[in-house]
Amino acid sequence: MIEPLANQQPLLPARPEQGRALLLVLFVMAFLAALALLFARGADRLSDRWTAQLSQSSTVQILIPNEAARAPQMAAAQDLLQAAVPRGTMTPLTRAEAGALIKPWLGGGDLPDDLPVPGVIQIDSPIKLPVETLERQFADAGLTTVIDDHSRFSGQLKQTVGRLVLLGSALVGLIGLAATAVSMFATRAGLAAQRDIIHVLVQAGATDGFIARLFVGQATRRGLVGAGLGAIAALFIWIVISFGPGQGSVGWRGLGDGIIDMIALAALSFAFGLICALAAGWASLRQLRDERRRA
Amino acid sequence: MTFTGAPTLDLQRIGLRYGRGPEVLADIDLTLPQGSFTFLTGASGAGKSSLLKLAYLSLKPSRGLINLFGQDVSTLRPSELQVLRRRIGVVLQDFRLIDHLSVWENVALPLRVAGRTRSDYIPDVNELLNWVGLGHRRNALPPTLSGGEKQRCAIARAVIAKPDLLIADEPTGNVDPEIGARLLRLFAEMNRLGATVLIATHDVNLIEEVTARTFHLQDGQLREHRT
Repeated sequence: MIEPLANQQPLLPARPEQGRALLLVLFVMAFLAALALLFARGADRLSDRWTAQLSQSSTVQILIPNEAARAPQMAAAQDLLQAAVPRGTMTPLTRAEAGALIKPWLGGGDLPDDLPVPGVIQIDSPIKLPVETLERQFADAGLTTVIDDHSRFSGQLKQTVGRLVLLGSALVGLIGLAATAVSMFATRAGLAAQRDIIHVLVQAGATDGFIARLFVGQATRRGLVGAGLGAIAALFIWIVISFGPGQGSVGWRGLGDGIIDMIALAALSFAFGLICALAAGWASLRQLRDERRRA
Repeated sequence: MTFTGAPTLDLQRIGLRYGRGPEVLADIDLTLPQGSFTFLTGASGAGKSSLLKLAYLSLKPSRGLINLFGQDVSTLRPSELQVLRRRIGVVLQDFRLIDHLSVWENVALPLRVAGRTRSDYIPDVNELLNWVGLGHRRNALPPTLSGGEKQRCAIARAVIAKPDLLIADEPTGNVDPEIGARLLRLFAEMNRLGATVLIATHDVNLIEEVTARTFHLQDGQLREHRT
């Protein structure tokens, strides 16, 4: 009894040289897409952290007319704030501490004694400061104040980060488009190179779908391997960013961040494989149909 | 010999030209009754291979009608044509073996394409490889085969799916007389089992071995010779 080789041989040859070059291209594209994704997600996380920190902290400036009024006006303002946010923590700054805040804008040397340095109270509160109510109460108490709950800054930060995330997503999308084009080009080249095999398959009764599936299988394997390697390389870079020397603030701050990013990278690799498969299927079906029309 | 039922292949007033060149086949009428054995002869360049290509649906005629297994092929969708092609076994002059597949895998190809389970067809492929004398070369790759071995491999691939129509272009051109006779017995056996056989050949000895209709192709015209 004679036996065939144990495993069924693939109907399309491996073509190792072209395969390696294509794999390298897919690896680089997937690496860039994965980095763009990680940076976008990192920036988004950072924005969330900063915004959360900013939303819990506010500052009240009291424009003090003269130094004699500093202590009573600071005490009055503190009383009103304590009543408005009983669970908040008030930190009144001394004249020297408040002066230190404006010193960078005034250059070297000591501040003049008669410079009207505003009184500053920093508030850390788990709830948002009732700005409008406080402004009215301060005015009623004869205090001239400026309340900054950092909403303007956090809004700008959110907007900037939103644009960065959009840019990162656009980059991932563009790289996906490029991967589609590469997969289609490779499939067309494969169809041209394997013309003899396809002729034999057609003569044996293979449908367009059967032949397309061969190229889809090849493209999917290539896409998944290239994307997997690219994602692993990007992950390595991100681990260095997160835990290496001078760790960046966009990196991971905990296991949760890492797990979610790894799931995102796995999804990206899967999407890469899917894109390669769909592009190869579409390109091969179209090419086979066009060739049949020309015949 | 008389045949009943619809013909396997019926070519009516077929004309064929390549591009804008002259007609290489003109007004060809050929009917292959079901279960018939037919030889096609003619000088090199007479158009035998072109006629065979029309018969196994590799070419479309410039004019005329092809009925295969009772169906007008010009009205069929691509997927329907592929179903018809699975009922045809073809031995090409240049063999067209797939170089990276073993002899065994080449022979099993039509069954694989038809979606048969590998374990189901292993005995069939083994038996046929033994029959054509390639059992010991089952794992060899085509580039390492001699011309005769390639030809036997191509023939085995053509007949493995037990086709209803078997078409061969010079099937014994590269083999010694003993193997040639054996291959002819294989074709005759396929014919005895009901397959319609059409063989293009120069080999007069082959034609004399079998009682069959013979058509001669000359200057694009087909004439029947009774042998």
